[in-house]
Amino acid sequence: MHGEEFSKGDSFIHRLDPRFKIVLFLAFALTVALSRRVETASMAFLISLILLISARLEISLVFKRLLFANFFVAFLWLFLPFSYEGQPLFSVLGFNATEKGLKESLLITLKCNAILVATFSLLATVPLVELGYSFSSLGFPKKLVHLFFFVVRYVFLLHEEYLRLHSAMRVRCFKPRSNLHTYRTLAFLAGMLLVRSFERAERIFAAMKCRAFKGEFYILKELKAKKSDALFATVFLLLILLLGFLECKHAKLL
Amino acid sequence: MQTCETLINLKGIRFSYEASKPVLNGVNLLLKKGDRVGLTGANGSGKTTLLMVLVGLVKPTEGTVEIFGRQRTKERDFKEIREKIGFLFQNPDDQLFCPTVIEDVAFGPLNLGMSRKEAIEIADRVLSELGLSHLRERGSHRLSGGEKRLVSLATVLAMNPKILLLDEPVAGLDEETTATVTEILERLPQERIVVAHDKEFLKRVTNQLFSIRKGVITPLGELENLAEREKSPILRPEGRAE
Repeated sequence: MHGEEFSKGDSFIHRLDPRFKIVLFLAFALTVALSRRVETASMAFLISLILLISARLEISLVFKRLLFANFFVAFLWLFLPFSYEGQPLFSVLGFNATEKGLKESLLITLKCNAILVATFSLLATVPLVELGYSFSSLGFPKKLVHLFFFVVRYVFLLHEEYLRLHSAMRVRCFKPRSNLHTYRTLAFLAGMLLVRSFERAERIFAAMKCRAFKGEFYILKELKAKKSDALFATVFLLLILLLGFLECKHAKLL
Repeated sequence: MQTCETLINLKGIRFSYEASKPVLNGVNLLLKKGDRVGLTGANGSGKTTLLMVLVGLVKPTEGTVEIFGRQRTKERDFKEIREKIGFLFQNPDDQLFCPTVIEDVAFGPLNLGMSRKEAIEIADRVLSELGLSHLRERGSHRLSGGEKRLVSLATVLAMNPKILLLDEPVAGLDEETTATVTEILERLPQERIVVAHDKEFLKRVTNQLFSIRKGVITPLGELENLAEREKSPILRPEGRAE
């Protein structure tokens, strides 16, 4: 497990202040999530694609991740087109697919992928540690920020531990099958990870006490915004506004 | 006179995780000014537990812990001494938990009430003394095993401890890193208790050797004598011919 595949790079997206990227991402994701129009969603998807290209991420990896997420979306296409009433466009085994149903499926697919691609290009381009710094700088609750840092620090260890145990099982010829032995073994594995992480937590706390921990964590890093951050934020906010405009025009609010 | 020279005085320490199997069964240990104590013993013989007793992470069922001339019993007593005793844990992954190296090294000094600026200054100084300045901004989870150990040592030294407790400081390290750690420990002035299996290493970084067995500590003699003994022809087959 790596978890930071996208954070290595030198595009202008990578160099942006992570705090701006987080806030802009949230605004973008919220707008997209609330949109009800295929036009808005297509536009949003286009914007996220532009971001993706500017971030120059490894396309094969992006594709792999998207494929994984769209596996779930595929199930929607199995049911949603047939779930609305209206003029049938075609029918399968007696179930009628309607235009509204198809539109709904397309909308969800576009929204989902737009947000995902934006996540890859805006959030995943920030190294995990800097993500934590940004949360702290943006005024997220201290406890959450520290929790985040601890997760970043120890999830790797936990995963390494899992891999070690898993290889230890495999070198003794363990092959997962659909039987009680497999379930029991996997339960042992999960239990062992739980026990070990509990013990590790105790040791870490002991080590913290030895270094005179008094309940306070300190974050030393200070983030500084640049002109290019402001410029990017302005352009991106305008685009989000454009999305909102498209949406509202349809709803006849304007 | 003797009391002010005594840094640590353990008397009759008993402790057990399970009632039937005592880990420490009446341990006595004296650490005076200038003492560098090496401690060996089989796995599970209670070496780590003993160190934990010294900083109050484990409460002995019997016996007294006297540190810096005062008896220590309550958590509050130990909080005070933890600021003066540097404890290097066996597993550096337990010790390093901050997002980056510099923050980890500055964590102790900040806890001691220093300002950010002072803490960063100290952290940078310690890192450069240990030749680790290049790791400053690195995330702890991106360090190699050897780097982790050295950074752990830096986090301990940044608190400017009076006494060092080192739990297997070179276990699992390659030759080069072992040599680096050995040199650093030789150079450091602090009194110390070092737990290790490697006697060659202990000979260099300590001046007395003890062994813990069946819950009690027995001296293995002054290390010079040990070295003498190892030179004796009886123990060296190739010398026997003469």
